[in-house]
Amino acid sequence: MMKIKNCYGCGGCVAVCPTGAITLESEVEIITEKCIKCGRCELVCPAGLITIENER
Amino acid sequence: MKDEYDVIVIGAGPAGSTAAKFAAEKADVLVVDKHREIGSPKRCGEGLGLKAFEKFEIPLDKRFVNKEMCGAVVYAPNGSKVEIEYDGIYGYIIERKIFDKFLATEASRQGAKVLADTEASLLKENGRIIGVRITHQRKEKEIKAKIIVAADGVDSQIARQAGIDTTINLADIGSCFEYEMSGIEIENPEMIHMFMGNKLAPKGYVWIFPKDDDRANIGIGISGTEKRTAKYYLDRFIKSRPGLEKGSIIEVNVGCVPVGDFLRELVRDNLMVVGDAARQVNPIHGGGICEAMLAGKLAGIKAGKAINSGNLEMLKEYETEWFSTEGKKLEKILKVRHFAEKLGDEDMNYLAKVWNGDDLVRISGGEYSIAFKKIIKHPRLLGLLKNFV
Repeated sequence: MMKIKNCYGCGGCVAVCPTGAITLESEVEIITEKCIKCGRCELVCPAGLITIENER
Repeated sequence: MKDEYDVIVIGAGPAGSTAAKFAAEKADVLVVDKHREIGSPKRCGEGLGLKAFEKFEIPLDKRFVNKEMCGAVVYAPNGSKVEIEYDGIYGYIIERKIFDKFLATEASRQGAKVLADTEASLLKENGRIIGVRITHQRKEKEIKAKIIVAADGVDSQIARQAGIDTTINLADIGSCFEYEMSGIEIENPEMIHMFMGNKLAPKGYVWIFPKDDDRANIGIGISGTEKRTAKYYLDRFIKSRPGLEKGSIIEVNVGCVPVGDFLRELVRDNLMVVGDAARQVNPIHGGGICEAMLAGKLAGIKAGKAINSGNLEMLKEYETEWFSTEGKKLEKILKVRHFAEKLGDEDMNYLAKVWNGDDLVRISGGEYSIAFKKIIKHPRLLGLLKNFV
């Protein structure tokens, strides 16, 4: 599980996540073990707050 | 609060509150919104055309109308302008935080119960949706409903919980960043300003929507596939303009707009999807308030009739009627977007020479035949246009 600090809560990452691995709770994103490291959330984030490690 | 309602609407944005208002004419309605303040944080440039004010009899209330827009100036990459001028007022820059509360209040005046600070998830029994489980101020409660309306925005979880695949392709989403700035210099603040160019805003545009003569929403939308962020491009734009750079940032807004494709399945069993959750957005400029309200009205009326007649099959009419009216128009506009996405900076500079403001208005409304004729001497553009429309 991973929490994104300073998230603006725009929901873009949630909308593009193909596995439903991201949830927005009180404007904090939590990426669970469902993440397949596709990197779409990283690209869509308007503020560049997400970094997926070991990106395929 | 009761244990059972005819209709529960999830999300009190323009789509949800409008659906609730119209459903409440005939049914018992509950609207929940996860935010502590309805309308905040906004994810919006706040431009709203006069058409929406007329269609929905929205009063010109000073509490949510900031400034009138008399037209638009569209800038090509080389700085040349195309002006869209109207006889009179084209629309208004509104204050979403107050506007959304106004719409929620209208729904409550019609008899709907509205509840902010409430998370919701679908409640199912033997695979059937029977209501929602809500958490309001840390208290959980199960509430039954005959009909659910998912109006929970671009990141809709409710439609997903109902089994509808709502995942949006990266290329079909606009990644947006916006500052509200004060103390800036705006050339012609009676107009909205839109700056095009692949270096400036790849597959999108920068907007300046004035809220005062020296205060504006300055934002950007770019393709979700871009490696650099929306914030990067916007900061660079502002830095390059001293009249903006010297100003103050009084609000920061971030959002993603579903501009590339529409949700096709708008109704499943007793659930309807409206607004950004259904991607009911104009794919050319990314505006979606009026579209959301039109969809909300249609869905709300159908929900009310379905409750009245006891025939839930009727809900499917929302989907068929949407795609034969407003949805059909948006499909045409989407084709124009697919054309526009292929344009290079030189193409845009050329179009700024041959197209006038009326052409831009027509083409952003999906009518491309006249504009088509004007680029007949440009083989590349003509080829592109033929591919998409």
